[in-house]
Amino acid sequence: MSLQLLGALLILLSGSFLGWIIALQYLERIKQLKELQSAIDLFNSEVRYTQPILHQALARTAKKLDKPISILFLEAAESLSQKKGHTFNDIWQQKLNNNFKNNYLLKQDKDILQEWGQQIGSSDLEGQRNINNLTLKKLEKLIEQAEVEAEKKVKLIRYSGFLISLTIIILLY
Amino acid sequence: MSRKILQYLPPKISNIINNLKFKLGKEILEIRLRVNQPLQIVTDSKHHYITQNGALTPDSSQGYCITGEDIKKAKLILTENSIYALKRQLKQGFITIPGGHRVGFTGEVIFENNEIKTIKNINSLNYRITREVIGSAKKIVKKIFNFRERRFFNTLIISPPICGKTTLLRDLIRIISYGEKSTGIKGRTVGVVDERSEIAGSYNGIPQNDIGPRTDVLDNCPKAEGMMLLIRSMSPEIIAVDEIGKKDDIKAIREVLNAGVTLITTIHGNSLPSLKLRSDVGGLIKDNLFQRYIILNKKKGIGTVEKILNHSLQEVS
Repeated sequence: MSLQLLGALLILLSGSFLGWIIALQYLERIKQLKELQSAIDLFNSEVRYTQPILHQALARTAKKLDKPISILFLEAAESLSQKKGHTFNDIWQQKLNNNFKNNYLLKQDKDILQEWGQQIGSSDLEGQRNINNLTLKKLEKLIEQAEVEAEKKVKLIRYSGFLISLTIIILLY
Repeated sequence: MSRKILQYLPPKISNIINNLKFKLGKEILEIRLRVNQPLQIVTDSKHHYITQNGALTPDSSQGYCITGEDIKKAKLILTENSIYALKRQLKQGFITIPGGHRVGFTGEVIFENNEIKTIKNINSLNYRITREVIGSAKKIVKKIFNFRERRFFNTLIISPPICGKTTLLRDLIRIISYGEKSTGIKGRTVGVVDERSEIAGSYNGIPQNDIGPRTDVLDNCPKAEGMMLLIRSMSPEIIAVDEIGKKDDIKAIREVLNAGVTLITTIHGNSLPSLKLRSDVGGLIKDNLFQRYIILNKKKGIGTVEKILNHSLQEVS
């Protein structure tokens, strides 16, 4: 009897945990999108007010960020300062596609970063400001959508995890 | 040091140049990239087109054709992907890279309020390789030194483009700054206004070329303002500037000479009589403000000293 109870408890816990993990992805994505927003905003200020060389602007921005966004910016900055003869876009796309792991961002989020990388460093101050502002707006929109989606789905998934595991227990016993 | 320039070329072109039998900075003076035109280098004696495999060819259709993408990449690499930080350079039509090499460019000019605002859509790049020829001025130094008064003469170096006037000026500065023991000339404080970062080859303000231990460099500074600033703040015995010509320069030169500072400078020109007719420097020459004129040509290679004249236009032996 106690073994059955233990089994049921295990199913309930793992089901709820699974639901919790899946729901977490929605929340983490929002967090990381917001971090990206700060990244672009900080970068924009760096470029606007101190006009450093691009790799310095990226490194300074990276210092004020959390992982994993900070790592993406820092690695791009390091590669850029070491690999003379490469364009930022080449380095950024390579980092984004090959090195940027352990994150909850979706393809559409990375597409925005990709587009941003294509234009950074290649225009005057005014141009850079426009690109950064446009990227910030796009991120804002994505965050809004992600929040609406999370609102709908997080609770649902968490309850579903709990309820599905409860159904399994009932069916089993 | 000249090899560093390869880092500032698009990778494909950098490889081609690297495989050439010519040496950068010794034989190659310029690398020219023009969109939809063949890759070209300029050596001491002539122009060459370069094929995709790094061979020389006189046939322009055989040369590696520079693409718009090549130029775009070159621009990004040259500006270290930071075009936004180089507003002034994009206005004046050249960028200086480490080693003091100057990369000039042309493209679509945006002209506003009577001045060039920027140059966009670059179509042509010219990598001018700086040559640091140490010792090139050794024989000249004693000819521009007044042994009786123990001071240098005000000197004007006259030369058409690519005849080595900046190279000669740089070496003169170096020798004057170190001093020349064999002739008993002691080192002197030299102030340099390096408007185009060509003399000292400064990168981030720090001279990359050897210009001597008693030399102060104002990098990237307009000549007229720079000369005045040096006199006020650095008490130079000699001021050296490259390529004078603007009205403001001439006014500042008169003030420098009135302040008792010796001036060594260069100007584009073919001969002294033609310079005398110019409204800008003509007055300086007529007023005998220079005591020495060094005239260069490239009849026997770049940097050939045709003659050195004194203020009464007699050759100095």
